[in-house]
Amino acid sequence: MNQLKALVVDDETDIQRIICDELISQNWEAKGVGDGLLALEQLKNEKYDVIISDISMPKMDGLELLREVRKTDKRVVFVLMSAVVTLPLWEGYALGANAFFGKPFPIHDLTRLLVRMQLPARQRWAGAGKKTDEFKISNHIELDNGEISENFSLGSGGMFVNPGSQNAVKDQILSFRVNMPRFVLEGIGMVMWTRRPGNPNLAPGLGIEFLYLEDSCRELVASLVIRSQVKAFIPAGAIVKKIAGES
Amino acid sequence: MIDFFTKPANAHVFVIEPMVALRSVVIEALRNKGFSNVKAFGDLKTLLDALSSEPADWILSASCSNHEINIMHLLKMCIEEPRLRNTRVSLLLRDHERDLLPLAFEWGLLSYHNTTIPSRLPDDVGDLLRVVRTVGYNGTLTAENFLRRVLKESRSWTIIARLTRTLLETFPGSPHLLLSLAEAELNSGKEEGRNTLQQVLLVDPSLSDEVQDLAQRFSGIDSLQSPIDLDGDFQKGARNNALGLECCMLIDPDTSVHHAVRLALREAGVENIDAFESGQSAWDALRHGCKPSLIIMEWRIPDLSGLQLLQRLKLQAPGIPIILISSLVTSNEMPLLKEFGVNSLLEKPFEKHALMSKIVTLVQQHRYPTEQAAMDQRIMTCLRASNKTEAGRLIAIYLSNPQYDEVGKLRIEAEFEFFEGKYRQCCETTLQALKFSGDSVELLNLLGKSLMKLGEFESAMRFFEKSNVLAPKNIERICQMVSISTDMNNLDSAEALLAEAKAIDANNILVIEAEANLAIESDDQKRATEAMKGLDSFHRIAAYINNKAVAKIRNNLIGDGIKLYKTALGSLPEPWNSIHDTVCFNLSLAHVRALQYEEAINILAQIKACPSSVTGQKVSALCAKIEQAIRTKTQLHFSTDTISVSLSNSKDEPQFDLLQMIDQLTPVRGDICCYRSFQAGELASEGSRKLLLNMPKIVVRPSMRRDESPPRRSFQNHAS
Repeated sequence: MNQLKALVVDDETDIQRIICDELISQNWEAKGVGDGLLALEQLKNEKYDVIISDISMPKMDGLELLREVRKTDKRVVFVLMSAVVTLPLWEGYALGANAFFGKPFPIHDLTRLLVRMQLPARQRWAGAGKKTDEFKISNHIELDNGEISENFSLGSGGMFVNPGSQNAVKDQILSFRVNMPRFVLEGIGMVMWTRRPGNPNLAPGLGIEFLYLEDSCRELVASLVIRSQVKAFIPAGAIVKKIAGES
Repeated sequence: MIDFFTKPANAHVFVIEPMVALRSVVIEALRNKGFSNVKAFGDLKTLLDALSSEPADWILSASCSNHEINIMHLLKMCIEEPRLRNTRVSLLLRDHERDLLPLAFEWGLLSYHNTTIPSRLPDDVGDLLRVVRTVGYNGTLTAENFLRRVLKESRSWTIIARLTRTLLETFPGSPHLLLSLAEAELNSGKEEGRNTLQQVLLVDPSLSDEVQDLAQRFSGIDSLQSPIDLDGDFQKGARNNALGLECCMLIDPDTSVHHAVRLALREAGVENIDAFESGQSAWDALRHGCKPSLIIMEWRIPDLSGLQLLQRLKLQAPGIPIILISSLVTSNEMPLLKEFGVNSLLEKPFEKHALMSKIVTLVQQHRYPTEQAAMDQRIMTCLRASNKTEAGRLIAIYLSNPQYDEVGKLRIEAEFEFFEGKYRQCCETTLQALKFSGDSVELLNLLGKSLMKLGEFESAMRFFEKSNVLAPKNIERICQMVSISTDMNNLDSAEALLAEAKAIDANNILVIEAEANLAIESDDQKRATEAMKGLDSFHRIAAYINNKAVAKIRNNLIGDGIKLYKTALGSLPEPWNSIHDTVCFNLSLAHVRALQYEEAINILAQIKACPSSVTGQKVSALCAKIEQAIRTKTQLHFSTDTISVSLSNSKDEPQFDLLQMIDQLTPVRGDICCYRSFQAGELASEGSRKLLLNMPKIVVRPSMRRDESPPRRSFQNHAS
């Protein structure tokens, strides 16, 4: 990999320094700024491989920054970081964040994410053909009726699914099989967030990032995602319903 | 813990019911719930006979109020006989006997089951099992649930509130107790009940149905009262300290974490929170008397790293429960954390409820350990603090718990042997434990320590090196390796190891002491003085040097021993310190041993302690003996043992063996249901008090469970 460039956005200068130092020591190029407005200013002049942003900041917070960035740039890897979960994780993913990290986080998590995200979706989901060795699958979910509904929606990097009574926890790797109207969505993914019952607007369920998709559906899903201009990396549930419904 | 409920088929259950027909109904109800090993008798006397050959997990007994031995006698016996400490008693109750219940619960009753309508018994047993599961197989919380039903009938809300508050001291943050407390508070019209109700949700969101129920019941009863808003902010007014934490220390450079943790802890009623952004500032506060009852810390903290702070804490402020919140703990740091007893790790970003659940578990296990890891840690803390009585009590409980694994029991026994100075025995026990487990850092380290004490340096070094690979950067271990290398006269290697320890934390007192020791042994007074300036106390250095010198003297290297004492004496920094006198006294004894009486007298003259003090008296006594020896031109004789004299008063502790300890165990609060947590007082009926009287003198030697008696010397000896 070439030298990677990261923009670190955090109003706490200590944290900014810790992360930048760590990145630089790993041979990254890193620039730190104190809020979202300064970050946008910086992005006008320079191109970055990854933006790592804290959520709560003065002037412009991390979510606003993410919205602004995604208006023009769908490709740059955007990582939200936070020490405390102050907003539901799915909101960040639905706005187009590619990951949600703790603060501070191990740099190799970032490197791994970047290596994956720099591949086009088709390649990323091909899993190098050794899916069983690569992943420790600890659960399987099945959904019979995978029509775009309140129980299922597709994002640019994963899906929302409500597997009914089946339980899963965050960071669990599971295999899945969803019967869609025209094809079967089958593969392996990681649970990025879970939502318990009780939310008035959204169904309970899981946000899953695709790690691997079967040959039979990979092409189709990749082209679907590209054509539909899906903004959400992993949809929150209802938001993507409309967009995915168009395709 | 009443773990036998998890495996009913293996539980030893006894039913005592004089009426034959009823007896079979009870047995049937139990069998239907999976309790297949049930024996039944008509009276308690027969039961006691049976108990001498068979262990009992659970006894369901009628009151037997007109028998020679009644239920109250049985309850009392289960409390007084340590070997029945894991046996629980339930009462098969007739309607007219309800007045027995308060006193029975005071004496450790688990539950009661009404037999007046026998057809309801199966549901009743089912109800008990449900309660047991809900409270996580905790006998005390199960008993509380049943006792509360009795107290609710008489609307004794104040007594319920007092009971739950008492139990919360033992089981801080227990959501079930908080729920009971909230109900009692709301029923007696106390405003804080609303906050307590919200605390239940804070510590266990899964109880939301129960909380909603209560909230609805108490919303709108009084039109002046506003409805209880569970999602909103906590109400003003009093808030129970649900976690029983006096003071909490928080170390994280990220102020958003401070905010989140403060908020969560305040809601739980913890007001006193000291937050720090760096390890050094936290350490300074600890050194200046801050005594937190819980530390919540990030692993990556500035100035003084988590690794450095943790090692200093374990040495100078041991026993404080610690939660790490970080995503930066690597897998190879885990064995070291485990060695330091830090088992609680929360990844960032964390949710409030996840943090709460970690805190509750940790605080509960710290207050009243039931899990093996928590017990291990508590025992080690006691041994480190030389609190032998409490360590012995805990070890006795540990060894008689059938749920704990055998390797752990062997290890704890070995740790105790080490503490008692039985190093050879400790080696044997540790080796036996190692046979059953893979390479465990704790066992390898313990073996290293014992071999070091036995002077088998090469083997000791090997085991330390092995542990050091599994759990690197343990300063205490590396410093022990420095000492071994010195003993083996391998000063280069000692210096290299010391440099390794210094790189981890040059200001750790163990590192400073190791440097001073090494400097004294290599006769470098200047370096030793410099190092010792960083210390508050020289006791350990004095002890170390004394041991080394005595060893040399015993090997007839008296000159070397004297030289060591002299270097140590010359290295002690100004101003005068009582250690100076200790070293002088020991040096003087060494001179006596070398028949250098004049020198001995001269050295004694340098002692500055007041003549009337214990030290001063010892000095004058020795002085007189030497002078007499000079006068009479005779030789002073000392047995080799008296050479090493410490001027501090040696502790005359009684020797006891662990088995005896098991026999003397008395239950504390939380051990046996509500015993020692609840006093029936006026609620106890005349009839129930009468039953407790006239306890016949019965000698029961209940048998230990076969699967419970560990394959170990102490127990086998006792049996034979």
